Amino acid sequence: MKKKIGLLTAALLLTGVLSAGALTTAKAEAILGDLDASRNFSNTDFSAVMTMVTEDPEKGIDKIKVQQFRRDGKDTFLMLFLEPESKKGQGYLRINDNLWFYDPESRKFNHTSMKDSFGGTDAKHSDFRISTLKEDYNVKTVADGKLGRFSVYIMDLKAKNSEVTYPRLKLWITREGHLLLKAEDYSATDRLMRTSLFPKYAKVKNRYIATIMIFVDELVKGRKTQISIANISTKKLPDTIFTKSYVERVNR
Amino acid sequence: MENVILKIAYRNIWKHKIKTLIIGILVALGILILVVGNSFMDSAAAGMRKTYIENFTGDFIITSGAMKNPSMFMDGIMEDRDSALPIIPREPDIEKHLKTVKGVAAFNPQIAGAVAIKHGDDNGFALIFSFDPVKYQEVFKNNIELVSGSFLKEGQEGIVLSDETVKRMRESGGEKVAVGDKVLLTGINNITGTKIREVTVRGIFKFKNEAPQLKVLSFLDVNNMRIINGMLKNTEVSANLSTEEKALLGSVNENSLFGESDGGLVTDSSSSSSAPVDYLSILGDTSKRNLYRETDPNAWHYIVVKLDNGVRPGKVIRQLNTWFTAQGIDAKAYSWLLGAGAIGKLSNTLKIVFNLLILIIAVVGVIIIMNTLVISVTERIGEIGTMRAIGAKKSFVRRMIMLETLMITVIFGFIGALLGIVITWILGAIGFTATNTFLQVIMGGKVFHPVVSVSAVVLSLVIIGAVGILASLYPVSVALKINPVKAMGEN
Repeated sequence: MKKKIGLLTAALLLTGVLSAGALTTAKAEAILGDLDASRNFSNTDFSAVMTMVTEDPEKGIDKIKVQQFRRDGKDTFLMLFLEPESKKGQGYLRINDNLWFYDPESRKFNHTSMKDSFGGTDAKHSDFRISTLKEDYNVKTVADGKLGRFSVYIMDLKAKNSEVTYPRLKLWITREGHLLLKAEDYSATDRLMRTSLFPKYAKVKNRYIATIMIFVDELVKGRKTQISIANISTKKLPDTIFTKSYVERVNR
Repeated sequence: MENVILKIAYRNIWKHKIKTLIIGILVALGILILVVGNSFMDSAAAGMRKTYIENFTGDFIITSGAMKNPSMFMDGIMEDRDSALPIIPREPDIEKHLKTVKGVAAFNPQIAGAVAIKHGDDNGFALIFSFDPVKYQEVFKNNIELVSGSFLKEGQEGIVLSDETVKRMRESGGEKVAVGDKVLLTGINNITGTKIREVTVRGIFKFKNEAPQLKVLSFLDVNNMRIINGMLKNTEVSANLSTEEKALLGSVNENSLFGESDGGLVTDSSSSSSAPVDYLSILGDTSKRNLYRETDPNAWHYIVVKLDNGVRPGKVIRQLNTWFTAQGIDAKAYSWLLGAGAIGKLSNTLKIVFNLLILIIAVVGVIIIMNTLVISVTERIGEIGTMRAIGAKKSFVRRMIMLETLMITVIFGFIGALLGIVITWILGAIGFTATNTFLQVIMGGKVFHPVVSVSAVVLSLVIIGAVGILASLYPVSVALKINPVKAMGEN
């Protein structure tokens, strides 16, 4: 009789553990969905000025200023260099799933990859498009943790496809409000490539935009890029902004 | 006296035929491997040297003193690329001086870079050299063969693509690149960022030398290469950082970023009216950027120098480096080997590895010969003891044993060397065809004809002597310890 009770208890415990695991994963995926939704301006356009400061142990400090235009509803964006003078007018235009780079000196566009670095910084082009974490990644593990004063979920994600920039991510998401505070980006061989930190957010039209981002290059010691965002606007932008002809015209 | 020693040594060698033959075969085999192996290594190194000197590096190169790796190949270009390849300071002064240096036949200032090439749907990649076409052909005479089109002309824009690059682009699909077509080149530098240039294909060529490492090389006009590399006349003053930006410099402290003392994580921000008003004038004044489009006509990465026949590069390199120091010019002259980079050094590295293996074999050989000789000496204890008893001095015994060893090693060593020479000669006459790219790199081309290396033969002779002397040391000491009375008693 005792043996039967023991077996039953074990079975119940096992069922409990499995269902708790499944529940956690499901909840984690829901949180990823929340995260995507809170970061994407699906119903409005978005524009801002980004200042990117890159520190490199060999090259020194480099500062660029970029005008960002986003239309998340169509997964499109334009990033136009405002400073320095030597890069002014260069731009990255994402339209119809293609990313184009424009060089105003030769007045030529060339196709480039979302996985590449943005303008020599530690940010990737993919950092500036809509967030699709739930669509692109599976949650492998979830744990509770602390980051500074924040209670966080620590999620380990594995990519569902090869289109993403990093095949594995580790995210620190606040338990309250579901904001992304930190991300570790790993290569296919599980090597830590980059650590991203998001210590400041602005709430705009019930969406959250990181106003300070820090991208630490884990391959080059002492190299990192800080990005600050200002002049945020959700005003409707003219359709012509997201065209090659606008990029050419603005450079005339 | 010497005749007596010679006779005794000769008699002993004949008396112990089997032992002599074992030692002899070992010596001959070792020397044979040494002659053939080193002849191969020397031939490969000579082929590599010829490949580089006649197509790539000239007899020596000059770079900025700030160049981290003087290799003109990918390893050097990519190593220095993160901080931009440094340009040679006061290059016009160096050119002026080179014209006065005795033994300098010609020189060619060059720029290096790497570009992605696009032609319709075809994509490719090329390592680029840019130069004054006239000067290039003065240094590298008749080293290329045009497949179609023409070589770059002085002051002409355009690219001359290697046929291998065209072939690889073709493999990616689409229409084949032809002379007269326009291609898009994209390169990245840390001054002006990504640059795109549209250039005309002026020609398609291949190097007469078939070394695979040359095949990725194409030639672009100087101005376009300088634009792609960001080699500008005017440099921009770096922007000032705000207090907030300065505060985030240095190492990241997560506790401080997300800690108690910090302000709130989220600030409310209503949709501001700070969106640009006039979308066509968001760049503001664009006239200043033209200032940063002018290229520096004196910006070069390398000067490739060709010497008159028979002039030793080492001496000219030393002279020039002394002159740079005296003039306060931060430039440096390097041998072709350093300019050739990792691939160029490969044959030398392999030779070192090979000689280390030979050294190990030699040590083992010495031990085997020594042991055999010790056995031989032990067998002759009575004989040596009797010699000593009837008045033979220690020096007599020493010379006798040494002569025996030297006779074996020298005779069989010469046989080995001779066989090595014959085998190398036969292999050289037949020739090797390398199907493997790695072997082609090592051999400096597809077909390899090893030639007998004089230095390998000389080295083998030195080794023969050294092995003979070394191998006899211990047997001699054993022989000298023999007590004449005891030895005769035992006998």
